[in-house]
Amino acid sequence: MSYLVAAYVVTGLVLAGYALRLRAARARALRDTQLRS
Amino acid sequence: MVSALVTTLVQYLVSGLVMLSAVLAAAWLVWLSRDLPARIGGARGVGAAALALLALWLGLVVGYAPIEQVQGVVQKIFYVHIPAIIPTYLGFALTAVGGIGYLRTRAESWDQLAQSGAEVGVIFCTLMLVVGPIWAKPVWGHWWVWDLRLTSTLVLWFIYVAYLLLRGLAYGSDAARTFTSVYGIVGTAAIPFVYFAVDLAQGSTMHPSNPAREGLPAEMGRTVGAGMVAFLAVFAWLVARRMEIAALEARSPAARAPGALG
Amino acid sequence: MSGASVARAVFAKDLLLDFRTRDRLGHMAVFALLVVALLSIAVPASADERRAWSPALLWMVLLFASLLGLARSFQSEAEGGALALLVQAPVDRGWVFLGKAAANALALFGVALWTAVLFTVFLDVDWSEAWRPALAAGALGALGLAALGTLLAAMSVAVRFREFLLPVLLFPLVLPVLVLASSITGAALAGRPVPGLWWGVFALYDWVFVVLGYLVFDYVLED
Repeated sequence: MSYLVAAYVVTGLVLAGYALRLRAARARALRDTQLRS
Repeated sequence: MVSALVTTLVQYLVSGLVMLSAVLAAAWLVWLSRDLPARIGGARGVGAAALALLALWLGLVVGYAPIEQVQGVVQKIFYVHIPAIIPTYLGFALTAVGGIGYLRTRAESWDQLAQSGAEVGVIFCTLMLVVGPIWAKPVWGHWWVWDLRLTSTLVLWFIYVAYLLLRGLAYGSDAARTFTSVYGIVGTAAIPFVYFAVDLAQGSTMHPSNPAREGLPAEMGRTVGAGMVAFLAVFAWLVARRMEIAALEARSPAARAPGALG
Repeated sequence: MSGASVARAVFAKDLLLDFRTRDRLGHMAVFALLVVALLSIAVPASADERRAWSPALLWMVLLFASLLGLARSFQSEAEGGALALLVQAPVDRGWVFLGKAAANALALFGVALWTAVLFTVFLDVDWSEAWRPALAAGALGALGLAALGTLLAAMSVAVRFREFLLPVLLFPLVLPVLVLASSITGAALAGRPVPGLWWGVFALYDWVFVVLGYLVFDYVLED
């Protein structure tokens, strides 16, 4: 049962983690291009 | 008799739906890459759909999918392991398509498609390699088993990593995008041969034989189908966002190392 | 100046270089000797186990030795000058790839033969019944390795950490060569027939990567 939970939790963490990194990078990139203009 | 017919029809519907979703996801991403600034708006909808589909899938896993006789509850890892497969392969497909596009047109947008496909693809590939052992340990007693699917996924992972490594090491030179395009193409071309080779080397396999061919119980089929569509939506949304970032960074004065999202 | 003659010229030049200097071939041969010797000392296997592992080991040795030869393929100074000249030739530069890959394939085949001899001497492998399929596997394997190896070596020459990069790029893609060649060799040594499918896939693999190499080399040389 713990294996089952572990599998889903890991998946959730990895995907959510990557999505959050993308969001941070996107915010940074938007700021950078706006600073330029 | 009629109910059996309906069940079969629904099964075909589910697999057809999955295949359609895969094609749609790929087509949308390629279309998106052609004019990203104008077309990125749709990504928000895809993201919302992804969340909804994930909720549906989880609901099905918990409430609808039956508990399997032999493996027990642990078998439900199946519903998170299998849906990761198509995004893994789709990542490669996008990398190859982007590579070909870049070599022929030298348009950066193709290279951004390739890079994003690889980055998100490797994530799903890694997920398979992590979840696989989590499933294998309680069921077979070993963390790692050299069966066909896990082994070929491992080699796929090596190809992904090699691609990203090449991109990282070549960064800054004009040739970087050309080289990664070439590697993306030959790397993807090698995949069917790798699969054949692993199969040949294995002889017998420990992996559960593909139940879809033996006739997956309807509830299982629908649950895993929902998972596949949900993961495809997530994949598409992640690649779209990654491409957006790449496009933005290309316009900004700050030079960024590829893959270093901060 | 036709494409084929360019290919022939490159092929001849590389081959001549190999035979005159004996650097590349010699280094690969010595390397193979060292590894096989170490293997036979360190691996405490029975005769049966040795026979079972030999095909795969032979091809692993070849794979590592090939790294030495492939890296050299584009590295010498003269090489840079010669390539620069060839690049200006008004032909499809894929022909340069074909010439180089052919030279590399021949070199690798030679090293494969040498390694097979070493395996007889050190590990008691008896080729008398198996030599025909083994030879064919050697040729197909050498070609497959050379095709991908030449292409990737050309790219890695321009990138940092090339000694690390080339194997990382190459090994996952040539796994099929390793498996197919050692499976065929193993079956031949055990006296079992080799399925036609294996030959077919092997030939297809070689063809795909020779063609791909030819098609993309133009882009690789540009940069």
